[in-house]
Amino acid sequence: MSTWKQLATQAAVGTKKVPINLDPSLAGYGEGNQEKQLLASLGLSELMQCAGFEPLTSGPKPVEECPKESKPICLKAVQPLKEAFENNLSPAIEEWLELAQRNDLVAPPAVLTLLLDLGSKSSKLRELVRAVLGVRGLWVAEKNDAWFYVFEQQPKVIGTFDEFVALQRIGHKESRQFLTERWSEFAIRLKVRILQEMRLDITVEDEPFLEAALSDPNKDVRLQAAKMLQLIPGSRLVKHAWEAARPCVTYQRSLLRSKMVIELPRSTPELVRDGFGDYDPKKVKGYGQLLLEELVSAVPPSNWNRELRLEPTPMLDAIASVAEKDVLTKALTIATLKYKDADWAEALAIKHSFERTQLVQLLSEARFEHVMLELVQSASRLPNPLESLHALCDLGRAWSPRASLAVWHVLEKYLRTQSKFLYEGQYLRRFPLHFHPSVFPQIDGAKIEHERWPEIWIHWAHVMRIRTELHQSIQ
Amino acid sequence: MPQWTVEQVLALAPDASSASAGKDLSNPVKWASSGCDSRAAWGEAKGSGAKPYQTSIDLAEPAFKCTCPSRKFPCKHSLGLFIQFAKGELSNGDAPPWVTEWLDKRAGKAEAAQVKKTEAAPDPEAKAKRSAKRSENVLQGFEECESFLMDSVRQGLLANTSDRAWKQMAARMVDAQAPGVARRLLDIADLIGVGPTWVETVSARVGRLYLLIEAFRRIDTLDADLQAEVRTQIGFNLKQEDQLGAEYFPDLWQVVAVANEVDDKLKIRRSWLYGEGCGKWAMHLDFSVGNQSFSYLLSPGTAMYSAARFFQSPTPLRVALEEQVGAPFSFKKAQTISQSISSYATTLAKNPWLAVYPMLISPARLSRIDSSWFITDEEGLSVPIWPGFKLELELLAVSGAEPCCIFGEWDGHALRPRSAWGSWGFMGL
Repeated sequence: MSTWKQLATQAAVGTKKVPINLDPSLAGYGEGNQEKQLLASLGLSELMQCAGFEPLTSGPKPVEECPKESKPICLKAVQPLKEAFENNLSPAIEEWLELAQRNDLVAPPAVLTLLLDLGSKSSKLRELVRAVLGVRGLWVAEKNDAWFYVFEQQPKVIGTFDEFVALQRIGHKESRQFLTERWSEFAIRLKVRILQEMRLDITVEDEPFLEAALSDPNKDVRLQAAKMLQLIPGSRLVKHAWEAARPCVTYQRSLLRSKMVIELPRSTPELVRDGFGDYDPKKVKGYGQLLLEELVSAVPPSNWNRELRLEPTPMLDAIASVAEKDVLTKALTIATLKYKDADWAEALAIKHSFERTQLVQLLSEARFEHVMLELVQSASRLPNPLESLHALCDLGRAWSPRASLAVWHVLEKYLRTQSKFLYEGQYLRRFPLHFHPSVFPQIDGAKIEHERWPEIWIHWAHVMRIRTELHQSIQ
Repeated sequence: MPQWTVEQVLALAPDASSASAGKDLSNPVKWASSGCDSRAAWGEAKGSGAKPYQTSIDLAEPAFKCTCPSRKFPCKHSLGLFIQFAKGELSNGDAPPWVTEWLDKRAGKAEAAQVKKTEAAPDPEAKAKRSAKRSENVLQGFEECESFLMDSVRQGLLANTSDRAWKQMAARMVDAQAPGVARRLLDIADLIGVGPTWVETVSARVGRLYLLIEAFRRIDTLDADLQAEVRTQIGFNLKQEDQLGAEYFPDLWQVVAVANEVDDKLKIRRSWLYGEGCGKWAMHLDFSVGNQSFSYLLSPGTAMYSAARFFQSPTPLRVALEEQVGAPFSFKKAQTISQSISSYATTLAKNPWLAVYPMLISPARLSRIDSSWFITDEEGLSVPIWPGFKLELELLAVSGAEPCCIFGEWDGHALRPRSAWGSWGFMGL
């Protein structure tokens, strides 16, 4: 043991328990007092250690240099990106990531670790982060286990479920062959879980397999198989559901007043086998409405357009006057999302707030702009449009210049009428993250007497500057 | 009048949010009027009050005045105006009366202070008496501190892993007018029971503290420079003029790194400088309390022409700076680990209380064994990186592991990197 180690051990244990035994070179200090001797020796020995420090001559391996970057690096984005990170402006960062990916640009080295950390926290952004990392980013990611998600091409195959998921990523044929060969060995819970997972790549080819699963001895497996069959347009089950649903909803035309007439369905053994209304009608309140919802949500919403010769918007207007309006709206929304019907998505998003964020994801840019303009117009008719306008920030899509201006005009008009700051601050903060940058020059806080909301306008100016710089960095 | 850059102005901000708000207020449309002349810059900012805020900057120091209610200093309006000035966006003109009035008042005050300073010559007898009284207080306190240290090693450091007794003794040292010793005791209290090697770390600190106490007891036997160093370490607050050496070092000083620390409400900024002509390392200390900004604008990765005077010490490092004129950073110096370590050992032999020593390794590369990081020089020698340092991956990302210059603070065991630069630019760490 070295002198220093001996002294430190002595100090740890105490001279009371173990009498001091000093190196002769140190014994002269401390005027014969054990503790003083030890204290002085500790000080001197520490100094000698520092003064005699010997660097390592072998062991540490220098990190190999990073290979050259092949793509252009977006160096102008360093400052605005750093500011966006400091201010937690995630939507602005996401927006920049999308722009950089679209322009095939690589993130600047100074923000690579911030982006890699962002990706490790948000699985939603991983693809975008991965796309802008470039050679340098991938090279850095290798150095930290927390960033290994970057290299995750295939999930690790741990058990049967993971095996299925892995095969699913390779191809539909491979995963279904695996199911046919091994299905009988699987436990009930595993069967249900795998059936659920099939929603990701279900095709019409899965119908025979799922039809067979409808005869499974276990009810949970049957129900799940039925749910999956509902996802296959044109499947026998969907046709069956349509046959049952069609007579329930009729539209009576007359010169004076056309109206929607609803007749609630009744359960049949065939419907129960297909997973519809599989519960006791006597025990379940509103059984007929529940079954109607299940049937309508199983069939493509466009079927109703053909059947009733009604476009989505007039049909929703007609539904608004029937007792089952909530049930039908919910069922049509589920069906719209299932069949990805853009016409219905547009009509529903304008009329109802239920699942609006999901619905607008089905729309083209032009249709989304139309929905935005309609919603802004509705908000403008309210005494306080702020909450409705603020809800537009949650739609998860970029606002067009026209939609941004529409929002700004309604907002400006409303704020002009306000005499003092109340709870509006919390709503106002998010808007500059969503306005299209091309309209920033037209947004001037001073126009609406910004003295009443100085902090808010400084925040707006700050966010708008960062977003403008992020956009300019791409050009 | 010194040339200001936007970076230098932003370095004056009391916090990040003020810097950010200052940047936003640097937009001329947010100002009702603005202008500058050779002495000052001024402007009227649109704010939340009925009248615009009147902001003025005395460019000589710089000093700020704003009529806004902000408690931060300088406020966002002052920063916004100063940024515009640094960018050359203010037009020259005649200062309005509220600016000239303020400037005249400042000039009057400065004159009065100078007169007071020259008039109030210290009474040497009273000064000696006060000094003797203080030494007596410190010595009395040291009696208790020594007994406490002796008792700690008698019982064994493992016998009591509570930090309470150490903190109590630190409070006693404040009463005994030895704040430097109190700080050392608080540092030890923070280390008790922390990490697997805390006993060794605490033993080392305790040993060095004991040497300091012993040195003060025998201060008359030490030479003048070492006496000054011991007094500084104990926390004797002497007037800066009394501590400074006579020699001036006019030079181009490269601002190699800036380290910020917070001690309760006091913010301490330690700037490391290198004199191109004299070849000396220097450390500049600047302090600020609360939301106030630092007095000096030393941005890492810049340089300045200035005359420095070293504080008295057996190993002079700390400097006071005269007026500064900015210049671009251009620091190229090759240094190996063995050269740095040897220089450190020589310095430590002269000054055993040296806490940190400036170490430059160039060209340097980052290296590792498992999860431990090192810096390796061109001779293949390596020193460990301080375990609390967490920016190795940032440095790798920016440098791409190319050989570069790494500057850090060496404590005898590990290097805490403070900056790095290479073909890719400069990076504060």
